[in-house]
Amino acid sequence: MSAANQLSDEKLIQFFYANWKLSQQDFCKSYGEDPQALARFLNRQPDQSSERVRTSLKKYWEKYQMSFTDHLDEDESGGGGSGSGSGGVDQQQQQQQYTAPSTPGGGKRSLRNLLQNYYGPGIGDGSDGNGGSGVLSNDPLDIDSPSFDLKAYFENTIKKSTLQQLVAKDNDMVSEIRTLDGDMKTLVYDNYTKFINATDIIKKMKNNVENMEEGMQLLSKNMELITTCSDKINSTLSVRREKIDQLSGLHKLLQKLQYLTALPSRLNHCVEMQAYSQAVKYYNSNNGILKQYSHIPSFQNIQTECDNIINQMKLKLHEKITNIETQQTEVAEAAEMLLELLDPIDTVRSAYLQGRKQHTFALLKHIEKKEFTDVVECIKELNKIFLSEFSYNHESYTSLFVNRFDGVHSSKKEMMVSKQHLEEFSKDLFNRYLAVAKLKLAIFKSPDEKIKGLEVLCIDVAKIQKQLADISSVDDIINSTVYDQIAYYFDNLQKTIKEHISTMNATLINKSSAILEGNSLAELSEKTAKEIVSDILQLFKNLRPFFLPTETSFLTRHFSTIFTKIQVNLQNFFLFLNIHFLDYLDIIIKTSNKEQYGSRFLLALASVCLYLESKGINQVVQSMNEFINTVKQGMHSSAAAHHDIFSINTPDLAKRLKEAAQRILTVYTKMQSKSIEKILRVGLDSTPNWLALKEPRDVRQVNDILLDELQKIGAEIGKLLPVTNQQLTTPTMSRVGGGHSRSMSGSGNSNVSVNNNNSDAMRRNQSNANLPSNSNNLFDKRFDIYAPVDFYVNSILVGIVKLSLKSYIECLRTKTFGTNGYHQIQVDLRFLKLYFTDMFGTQQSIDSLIQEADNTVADRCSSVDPIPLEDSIMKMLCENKLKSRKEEERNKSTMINMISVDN
Amino acid sequence: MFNNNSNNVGINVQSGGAINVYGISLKSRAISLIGADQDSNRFLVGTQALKEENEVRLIEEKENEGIGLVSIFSHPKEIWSITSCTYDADSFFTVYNTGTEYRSSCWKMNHESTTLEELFELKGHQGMIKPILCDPSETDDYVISLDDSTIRLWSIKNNTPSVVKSFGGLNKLTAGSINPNINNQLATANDVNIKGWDFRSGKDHIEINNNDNNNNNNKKTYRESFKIDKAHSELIRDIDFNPNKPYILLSAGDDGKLKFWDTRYTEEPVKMFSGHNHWIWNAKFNKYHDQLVITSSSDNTVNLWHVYSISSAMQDQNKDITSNSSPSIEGQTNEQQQQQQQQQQQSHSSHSSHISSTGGKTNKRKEDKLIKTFEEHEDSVYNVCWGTSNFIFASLSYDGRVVINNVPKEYADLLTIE
Repeated sequence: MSAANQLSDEKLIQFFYANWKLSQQDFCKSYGEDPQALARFLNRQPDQSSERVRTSLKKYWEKYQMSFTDHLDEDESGGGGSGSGSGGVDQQQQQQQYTAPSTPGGGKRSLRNLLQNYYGPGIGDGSDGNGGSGVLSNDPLDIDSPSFDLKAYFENTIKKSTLQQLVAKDNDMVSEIRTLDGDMKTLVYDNYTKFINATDIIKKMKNNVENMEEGMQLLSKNMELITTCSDKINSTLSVRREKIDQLSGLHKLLQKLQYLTALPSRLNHCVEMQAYSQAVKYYNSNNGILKQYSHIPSFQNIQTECDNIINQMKLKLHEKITNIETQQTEVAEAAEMLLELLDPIDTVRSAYLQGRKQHTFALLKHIEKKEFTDVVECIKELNKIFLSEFSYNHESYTSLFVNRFDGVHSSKKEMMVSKQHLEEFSKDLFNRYLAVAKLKLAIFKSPDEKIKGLEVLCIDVAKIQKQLADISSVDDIINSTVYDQIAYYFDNLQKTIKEHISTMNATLINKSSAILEGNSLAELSEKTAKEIVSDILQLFKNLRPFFLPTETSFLTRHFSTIFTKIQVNLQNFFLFLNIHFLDYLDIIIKTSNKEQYGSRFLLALASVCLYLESKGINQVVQSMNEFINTVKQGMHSSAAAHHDIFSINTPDLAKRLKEAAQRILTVYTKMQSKSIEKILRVGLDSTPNWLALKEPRDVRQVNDILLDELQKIGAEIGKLLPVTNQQLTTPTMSRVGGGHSRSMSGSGNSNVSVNNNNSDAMRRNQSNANLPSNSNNLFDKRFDIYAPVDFYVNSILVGIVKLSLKSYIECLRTKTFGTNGYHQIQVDLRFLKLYFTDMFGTQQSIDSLIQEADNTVADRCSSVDPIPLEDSIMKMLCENKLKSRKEEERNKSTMINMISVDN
Repeated sequence: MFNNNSNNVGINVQSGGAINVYGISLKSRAISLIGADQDSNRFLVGTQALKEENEVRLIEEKENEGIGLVSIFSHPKEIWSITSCTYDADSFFTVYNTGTEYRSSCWKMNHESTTLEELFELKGHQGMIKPILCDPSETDDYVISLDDSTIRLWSIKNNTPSVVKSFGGLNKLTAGSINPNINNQLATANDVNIKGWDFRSGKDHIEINNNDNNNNNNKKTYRESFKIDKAHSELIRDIDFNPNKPYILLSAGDDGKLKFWDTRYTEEPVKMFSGHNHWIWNAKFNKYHDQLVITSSSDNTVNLWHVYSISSAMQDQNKDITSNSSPSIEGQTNEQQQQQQQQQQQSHSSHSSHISSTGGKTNKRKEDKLIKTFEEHEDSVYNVCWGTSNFIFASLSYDGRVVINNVPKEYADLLTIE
C-alpha cells in the first residue's frame, strides 16, 4: 500500500492510459478537472495545475484500488480460509505488481480473468487464445487454472512454505481477494447502468410506436376514400372514352384514305414538276398498303392508277437514262430512282451503260470531228472531256450497281455481274477513246508532236488508273499505242515503198516508149530509189523521238520493250525490202496481162536495187547506227546491256540486194530473149517449105528485125546500166572456167556411159570421139546458156542472144531443109556471128551456139551429104550486109542527132 | 557413174554391171512404153534420122540386168512420135515425116522376121501430126489424132480406119490428152490455150458445161467442156490428165513452167512450178502414184516432181471433192463410176498403209516439191515415159540416149504398198 501512496507521476499517467476507457473529457467531468490541465499532465508538462490533476488521478487510482479490494473481500468470504498461502501469494503479488502498471495488456487480462470467473468459463476464451491461459490450464497448483486443485495447492503450500511465508501469503491473498472483489463490483455497476439505459430507450420507443399507429390508421382511411372516388370517375367516363378512341381512329384512317386517294394526283403533280424522287418516295411508302388492300376495288383502282403513273415515270426515266443528251448527274439519279422502284437491275444497268456509252461516244465523236492545230491541246481537251466523263460514270455506276449489294450470296453474284459489265463498258469506252486518240495522233505527222500528245495522254490516264486497275494498265495503253505507232511507221514505209514502185510502173506504162528519151528512165529509177532511201531515213527520224530521254520520261521504263519491238520490225523490214523486189517476179509470172508490168519495169526495178545496193544502203546503215546510238544513250546502261543490239551489216544487205537485182535481171533476160526468139521462129515459119528454095542472095530480112530489136533492148538497158563493165576484167572467163570444169566431169560421164557390150553405144562413142570439140561445146553451152548475167548492157544482151540461139536450134531441129535452105540459114548465121563479134567481141558461147545451129541445119538438110555454101560467097554476102547495115545505123543515129539538135 | 546411180536406186538392187543407159547412134525423139504388156518394162524407141535408115527399137529394162535390146525393126522415114497401142502389145502408131509431109501409121511387130507390118495408115492430115492418142481404157474402139488444126476421132475396127468425127479448127494444136476418168473427155493444147472437148459420138448425152458459143464447128455433139485461155505465156508442149482424179490436168511448155489445173475452176492454176531453164517438151503423171510427175526439157534435164496436195492420195485423206456429184459426173456410165470407185478404194488402201508404214515421214510425204533433177542427158530430152513398174521412167534425148531412172528410194519407200 505504501507503494501505492508513493506513486510517481509517471505511474499515474500510465495507469490512466491503461484503465481509463473513456475520453479525457469524461475523466475531467467525473473528477471536475480542467481538460487542458489533464492533457498537459498527460503530456508530462507539469505546472501549477498539475497538483490538482495529480490528486484527481490519485483519487481515481484509489477508487480503482478500492473496488478491486472489495472484490477480493467478497471472494475471500466465499472461499473461506482456503486462499491462505505464503510463498505462492507472494509470487503472485510480485507478478501482479509488476504487470499491472507496466503493461496495459496485463491489466486487461486480469480484468478478463475476472469476468471469466464471474460469467463462468467459455466467455472470451479462444477469442484471445493467449499462450498464458493454455499453460495455466493444466497446472493444478495454479490458482487461476480451471483444474485448480485446492487441496493439492493447500498441502503444497503448507508443506513447502515456512510460517512466515504462509503469513505473507495469507496477507497477499487477502489483499488480492479485495482487489478482485472491487473489480467485480465495478463490473456489476457498469452492466447495471447499461441495462437501465436500455430499458429507458425501450420504454421511449414503446411510447412513440403507439403514437404512430394512430396516424397510420388515419392514412389508410384517406386512401380508401381516394380509391373509391377514382373508381367512381372511371366508371362514369369509360363509355365516352371508347367513343373518342373510335372516333380518333376513324379520323386517322380517313386521313390516310384521303392521302391515298390523292396519291395519283400527287404523283402526277410530282411527275409534272419532274420531282421524280419525291414521287418515288410517295409511291414506295404507300405501295405496301395499296398492295395489302388490293382486293378492295377502290384501292385497286388507286394502285393501278399509281402504277400507271409510275410506269410512265419509269419510261421517262429510262428515256432519260438512254437519252444521250441527259446530264450525267441526272442519269445517275434516274438510275437510282429506278432501282428504288425495284425495276429489274439488269435492264436499268444495261440501259444506264448503253446510255452512257452512247453519250461518251457522242462526246468522242464530237472531239473527233473537231479540228485542232495543236496536238497537246487536242489531247488535253479529249482527256478533259472523256476522262472526267468516264470517271464520273465509273463512280456513279459503282455506287449504283456495285456497292448496293451487300454480302448476301445472291447479291454477290449480282455484284460480280455488275463488275463484269463495268469492265466491258470501260473496255469499250477506252478502246473507243484510244481509237480517237490514235486518230488524232495520226493527224499529226511529226513524231515530236505525237510524243507530246502521248505524254499528255499517259499522264492523264495514269490519274484514273485506279479505276482501270482490273481492266488494263496504262502500260498496256502506252505500249500498244507506241507499238501501233511503230508498226504504223513500218507499215507505212512498206506501203510507200510499194507506192513508189507502182508509181514508177505507172509512169513507165504511161510514157511507154517516150521514157527512153534522154535520161528519163534513169532519172525515174533513181528518183524512185532516192524516195525509198529517204523514206527509210525518215523512219529512223520518226523513231528517234521515242528514245530522247528528256522528252519522254514517261516512256523510259518501256524503252527495252519498245526497242525490241523496233528491232523485230527492222528485221522484218529488211527482209521485206529484199523479198519485195523479188515478189514482183512472181507477180509478173502470175499476171496474165503482160502490159501491166513491162520488161522496162523489171529493168528499172533492178536499177533501183542496184542504186540501193551501191548508195542507199550506206545511208540507211549510217542512219540506223545513229539511231541505235540514240537508243543506247536513252536507255540506261544496265537495260542496254540486256539487249544484244543487233547489227545488220552493210555487205550482207548489199549482197542480198545485189542478188535480188541479179534475179530480176535474169528474168528480164529470159523475157527479152522470148521476143528475140519469136522473131527467129517467125522467120523460120514464114518460109513454108525450106526444101524448095532459091539460092541465097542476101541475108534474110528477119535478121535485121532481130538486130533492130536487140539494139532497142540494148538502148533500153543502156539507159540504166553501163554498156561494158570496165572494172570486171574477165567476167566471162570465170564463167567459162566454171563451164569447163563441169565439162570435165561431163566427159567423165560419157566415158562411163560407154557400154562395151553394146555396139550402138560404141558407135555413138566413136562418133563423139570424132567431134571432140562438139562435145565440149555441148557442155560449155549447157552451163553457159543459163549463166547469170552481169550488170552491164553487153552481158545482158549476150545472155539474151544465147537463150535465143538455143531456142533457135530447137526450132531448126523441127524443120527439114533443102540445100538452098541450108545455105540460107548458114548465111544468116554467119552474118549474125559477124555482127555479134563486132558488137560484143569474141564470145565463145555465142560462137559455139552458132556453130551448133550450123551443125543442126546440116543434119536437118535432106540431101545426104550437104555441101556447105562456098565460104567466099558467104563471106561476101555477109560482109556486104554488115557494111550496109552499119551504114544504115550510122545514118539513123545522125538522123536522131540532127533531130535532137533541131529540138 | 550411172552404174553407181543404179546401185543407189531402190528397186533395182543390182549386184553391179547393170546398165540403165542405152545409146542409139541416131537422133531420136520418140519413146513409148508398151503399156499393154503388164509384165515387163518394154519400150519402143523410134529414131529420127533424116538421111540414115530409121528404126524402131524394142528395148527392155530388167531388174538386175539393166537395159537390153530385144529387137530392131527398120522403119521407113524419120519418126516424130511413137504410141504403143494400149490394146495390143505388138502394135503401135508412129508419126513420121516423109520429107514433104507427116504421116501416121499403125504397125505390127513381127518378132520372128523382125519386120514391121503396116496395118493401116491414118490419112488426111494437114501439117504436123501430134502423137496419136489411144483409148486409156485399153480398147481398140477408137484412136484420136491431132494435126496442126483438126482433131480426128478414128474407128480402127478390122484395121480399116475411118474418121468418125473431125472437129477442132484450132490454130497450132500441139498436144492432147484423153481423160481416163471422165468418159469421152479430151483436152487439147493449142498455142498457149487449153481446151476440153467431148468427142462422144452416137448417143445423145447430157452436155458438159455448155459452151455453145465456143463451138466452132456445126456438129453439136462436140462441145468444149472447159477452156483455159492463156494457160501459159508461151507455147504449150504437153498436157496430161491425172490418171486417178477426174479434174486435174497438167500442162507444160516453152515458158519452162509446169502447171496444174482444176478443169472446173480454170481462172488460176492450182499449182505452178518452175524448174527448167528451157522449154518443157514432155510431162507425165505416174499412173498409180499420181503425186509423181516427170518433165523433160531441152535444157537437157529430166525433173521428178512430188505434187501431193492435189494428188488422189491427198484426196483420199480429205474425201470431199469428188464424192460430191457435180453435174459433170452425171454423164458417166455406171461402169465408169465403178471403175472410179475401185481406183479410189485402191489408192485409199494404199494410202492407209502409208500412214502405218511412214508415220514419221508424213511431212515429207505431203510436200509439194521438186524431188530431183536428173542430168544424165547431154542433149535436149524430148520424150519421157513411166515404166510398167511403178517407180521407173525412161527418158530419151535427141542424141539417142535412153536413160532409165528410178524414183529415189526414199520416195519410192514412202509410196510402196507394204
